[in-house]
Amino acid sequence: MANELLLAEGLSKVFQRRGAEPLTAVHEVNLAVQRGDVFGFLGPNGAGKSTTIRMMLGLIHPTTGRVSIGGRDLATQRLLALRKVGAFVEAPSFYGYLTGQKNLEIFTGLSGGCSPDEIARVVELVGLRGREHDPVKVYSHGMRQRLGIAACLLPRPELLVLDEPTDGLDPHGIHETRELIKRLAREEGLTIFLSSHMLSEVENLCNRIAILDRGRIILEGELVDLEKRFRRLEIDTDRPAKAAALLLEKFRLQSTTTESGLLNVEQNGTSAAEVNATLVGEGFAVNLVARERNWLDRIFLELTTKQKD
Amino acid sequence: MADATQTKSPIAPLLRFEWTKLRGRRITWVPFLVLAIVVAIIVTVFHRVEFKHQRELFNALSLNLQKDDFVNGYYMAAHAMNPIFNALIPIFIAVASGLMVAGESEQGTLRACLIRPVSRSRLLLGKFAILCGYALALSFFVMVLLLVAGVLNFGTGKLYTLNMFFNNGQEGVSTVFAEEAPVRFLLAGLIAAAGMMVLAALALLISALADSAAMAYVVTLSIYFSMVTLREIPFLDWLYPYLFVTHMLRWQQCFYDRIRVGEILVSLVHLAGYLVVLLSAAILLFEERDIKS
Repeated sequence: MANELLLAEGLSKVFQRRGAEPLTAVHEVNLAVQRGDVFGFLGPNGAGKSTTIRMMLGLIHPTTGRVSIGGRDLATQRLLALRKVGAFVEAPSFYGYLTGQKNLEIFTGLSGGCSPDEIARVVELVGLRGREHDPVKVYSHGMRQRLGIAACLLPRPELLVLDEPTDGLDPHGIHETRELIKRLAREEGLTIFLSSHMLSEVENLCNRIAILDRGRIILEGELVDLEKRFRRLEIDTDRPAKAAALLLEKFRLQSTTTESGLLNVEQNGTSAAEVNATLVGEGFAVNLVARERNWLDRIFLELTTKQKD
Repeated sequence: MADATQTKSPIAPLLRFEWTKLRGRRITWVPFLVLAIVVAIIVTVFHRVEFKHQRELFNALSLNLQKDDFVNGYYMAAHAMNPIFNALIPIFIAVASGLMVAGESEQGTLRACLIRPVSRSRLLLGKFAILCGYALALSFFVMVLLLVAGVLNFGTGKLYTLNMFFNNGQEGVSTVFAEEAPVRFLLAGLIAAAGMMVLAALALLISALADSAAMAYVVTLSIYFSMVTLREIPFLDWLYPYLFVTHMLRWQQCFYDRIRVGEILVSLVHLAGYLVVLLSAAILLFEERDIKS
């Protein structure tokens, strides 16, 4: 328990709507983010991610349930709980007519303030050195995102909550932001709660994930464990249907054939080498045996589609 | 509410940051420019107009006054205060207040502030304090400007005020001696500023509930001007004491022959009551509000 930095228990939010049935945006969500985690929070549009994050940061009052940060209950000790958090929700927002430096001073001041040296260090860290005295209204989208991360880092938080940090960035900006997040986790030892649409980003950065759909957590776990459980093999062979029958008979492995004609095979603990040797031994021409590339995308689509059905 | 048991966020940095934000916005300074232009126009008009209608009104009240007898710096300032304090400054306060909470909510900066360890009530109080400061600055800026421009252009003298402009036409003409006029203006300015603070509290309450700055100031001004309109309908005089604008306009009594201290005090108590109720409501509703924008 002591290792949990962010804990959400039975979190629900029901919005009352005029002339319509109440809307349950989030239903009984339980989440535990351990210290040192880079936690990926996934879900389709309208799943309730933003509402959940807003409840975790005290912007929206939960209908039921509680949130604690570093052991401090958000409902009764909001100020102390938020001292440990740096966050931006949806998009970092700034006073465009003020300079980046002034914005950082304002937001840092609301958290108790920090030294000019610390601000300079973070400005350097996010790569805004030399532009901090420009008004934010002239910043590019990428610069605003980086300023947003800089604001989150002041004064030194333990937990970073980043909502779609690469949203709207060009590939170069996406790469830079991802590298920055990796550095923050690795070098600054921060715990990061990352909400994203980009599954490759989550796979690349996170050690744990949760998928939210229609307000409910439908999958949660260590990425390594989920990979073992769900990642498949992709096999390019001359007779996919017969190969599928053989693997089912020999290893009880279920298969499907992809649009591009590849055989997509469950692993269930069977190694790629074993599968390859078996197929070659039975006279199949095996051109490729590879680990499935977009396994998280497939799982995400399967689970969220299943929920919709 | 639960924040009371926690480490409190200090109010001084909040005031500093609100002030930094307010002074950084170009629109903050536009009202000062507008007021300066309005004063310049009023001075020009006073130079050119013959005040025939006013002379006739004075004559009708058995005062045979020529233009030079009653047009002076004090006369100009007192008569210009009416439209400026009844219409212009309320508009400026409503706009500033709309930008402070609803505008920030619209921009997302309110959300960025509230995910910091800062108490919502203190944040709102900080904004209110700065808004009051802004209202005071606007009120005294225009008053000083009117007096300086008026005295420089038209000199000083007895201040004659037609009460039909100042109290529903009930009391003829009031006369204030020149040496007493500056104190009367100071008093009028203070009472007018107190009224502006109540308007600021109303504007902040609306702003704390609205989703956009435009909606906030449209609603605030609709409420304010509806009350001003009701206040102008003679057969609704039984309603006047319940309208906060009645008490906001009490500064006009500073230009009566004799100041009715009792009535002014009653109005100040009413204004204080309105201020406490409106500000408390704003804080309570803001504490409970879900920030969804």
